[in-house]
Amino acid sequence: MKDKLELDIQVEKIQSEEIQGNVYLTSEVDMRIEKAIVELTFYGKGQFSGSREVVHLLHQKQDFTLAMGQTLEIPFQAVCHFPYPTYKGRNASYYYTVEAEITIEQDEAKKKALLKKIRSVFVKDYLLRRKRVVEVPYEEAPYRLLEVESDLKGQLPYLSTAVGGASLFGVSFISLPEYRDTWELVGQGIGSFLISGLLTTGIRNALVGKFTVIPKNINDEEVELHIFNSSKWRFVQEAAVSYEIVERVTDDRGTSTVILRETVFESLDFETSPKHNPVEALFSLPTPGQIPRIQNGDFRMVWTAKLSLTLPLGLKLRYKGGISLGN
Amino acid sequence: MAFLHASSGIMSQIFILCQLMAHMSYKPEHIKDSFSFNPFSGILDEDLEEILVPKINIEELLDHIVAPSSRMIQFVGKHGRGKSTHLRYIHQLVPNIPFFSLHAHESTDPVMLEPSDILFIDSIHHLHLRQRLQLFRQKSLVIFTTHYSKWWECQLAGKELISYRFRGLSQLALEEIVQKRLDLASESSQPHVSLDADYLRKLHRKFGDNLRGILNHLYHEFQ
Repeated sequence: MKDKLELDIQVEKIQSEEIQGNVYLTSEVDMRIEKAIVELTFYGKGQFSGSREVVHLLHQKQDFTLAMGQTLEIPFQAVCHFPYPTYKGRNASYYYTVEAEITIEQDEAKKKALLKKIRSVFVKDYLLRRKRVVEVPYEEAPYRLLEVESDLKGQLPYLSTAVGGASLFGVSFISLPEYRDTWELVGQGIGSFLISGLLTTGIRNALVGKFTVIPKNINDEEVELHIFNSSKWRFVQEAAVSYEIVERVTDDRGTSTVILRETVFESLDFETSPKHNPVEALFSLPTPGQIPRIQNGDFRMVWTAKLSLTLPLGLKLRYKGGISLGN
Repeated sequence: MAFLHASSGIMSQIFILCQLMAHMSYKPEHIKDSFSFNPFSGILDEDLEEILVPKINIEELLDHIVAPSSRMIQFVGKHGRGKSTHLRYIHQLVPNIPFFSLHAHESTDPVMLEPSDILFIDSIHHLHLRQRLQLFRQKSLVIFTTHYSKWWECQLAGKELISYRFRGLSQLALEEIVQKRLDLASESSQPHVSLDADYLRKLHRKFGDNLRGILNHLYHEFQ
C-alpha cells in the first residue's frame, strides 16, 4: 500500500470583494515542502486559445515540514477585486478558481516516489495542483454607451442585384455573338452580377443617402439611438431601428482563423414612418451583469445598431453599425 | 447461514457495480454537467503535456533540433489535424528557441528581425514567398506548420527538408485523446468516466481525421 498525500480546498465565504477559506494538506509520510501557493485565478475557455490570469495571491508559505499524519491547514482570506463576472456563453466561458500549488523539495520527491499519485492532483513528481471553481457574486455597474457617431453600412441589396444581374446576363447573351465557350459564358455571368451589384449600390446610395447612428440621453436603464440620414429620409416609407449584442470569438488556434458569432441579446424593434431627421428611437438597456464587459484579444461583446428600411414598391434595405460601450 | 449467503451475494453485486462505476461510458448529455469546465475547450500551454497523444516520434524530432545541420522541419497537413498543438508542445521542451504564431493581417517584422538561428513558426503561410525563402536561406533550422509542403522552397534555398505528415486518426487514438480531455476537466473525487465508444465511432465516421471538427462538435455537446 502506497503512502498518500492529499490536497483539498474549502471556500467558506465569498462576497462581492472578499474571499475566505482553507487549503488542507495531509501526508502519511514526513515531507519537506518548498513552497505552497494559493491563488485566485480567472480563466477564459472556449473555442479559442484560452487565457489564465492570476487575480490575487491569497497565500504563500515557504520551506516547511509536514509531519507524518499531520493535516496542514493553510487559511486564506483576502479583499480582492473581481474584474469580471463569471460568464457561460455559446463559444466562450469565463470563470474563477481557487488554486493551490504545492512544490515538494525535489530530493524529497525522489525519496517519496512511492507516494500514491492521485489523479489530477500530481502535475509532476514534485508538484501538486488542485483547483476549485468558485461562483463570484458580482454587482455590475449599469452600461454606459458612448456618444460617438458611427456609420451604418448597407448590406448588398441581394434581390435587386440578382434581378439586375440576370437581366444584364440575358441581354448580353442575346446581343453578343452566338458562338462562345463555357469560360466566356462564366466570365459574362460574373461580369453581369458585378456590374449589377455596383449599379444597385450606387443607385441606393444616390437615392436614400448615408446613415449614421449616435447614442443620446443615456441613463442607467435606457438609451436613445439617433439615426441621421443624409437624404432626410427621402423615399423611405418605413424604418425599423433595433440593436443587438453579439458574442464574437476569434478562433485562431492552429493554421486557420475562424470568427464565431452568437447573438446574446436583441432589443425590440422601434418602428416609425420617418418625418424628422434624426429618427429618435428609445430602447431599454440589458440588466447590469446580463452581458459581460469582458474584452480581450479573442473575445468581445459587440453592440450593433440595426436599421431596416422599406422603400416604394416594397423594396427593403438593411444597415448595421457599431455602438461603443464605455467603462 | 442463509443470511450470510444472501449478504455475500449482495456484497459481490455491489462490488461489481462499483467496478462498473469506476469506469463507465456515457453519452455527452449524461455527463456534461459534471466537469469544472468544458473538456473540449481550447487548451492552455500549461495543460498541453497532459492532453497530448503524440502522432510523431518526439525524441527523434528533438534529436534533429538539438543537433541541427542546416535543415528545415515541417509539420504538414490539413487544418485541425494537430500540427500546431504538437509544435506548441515541442516548443515547451526547448523553450529557449523563439516561437512565432502567425495570423493574417499581422506584421511579420518580428519574425524577420529575429536574430536567433533556430525558429519555431506556426502557420508559415502567412509569410510571403520571398520572406520564407529568405528565412530558409538564413536560418540553420526552422520548425514550422503548413497546409502544403514547402519542399520546392527548401530546394530553392538549398536546404534539406524533414517532413512530418499529419493525416489519419485511428479510433484508438481518438478515444485516448477524448479520455485525456475528460480526465483533465474532471475532479479527482469523481468516478472515472468515458464517452461511449459507439458514439465516438459515429463521430469518427462523420469527421474522419478532422480532429478539430470532432473536438468542436463535442465542445457544443458539452457547453
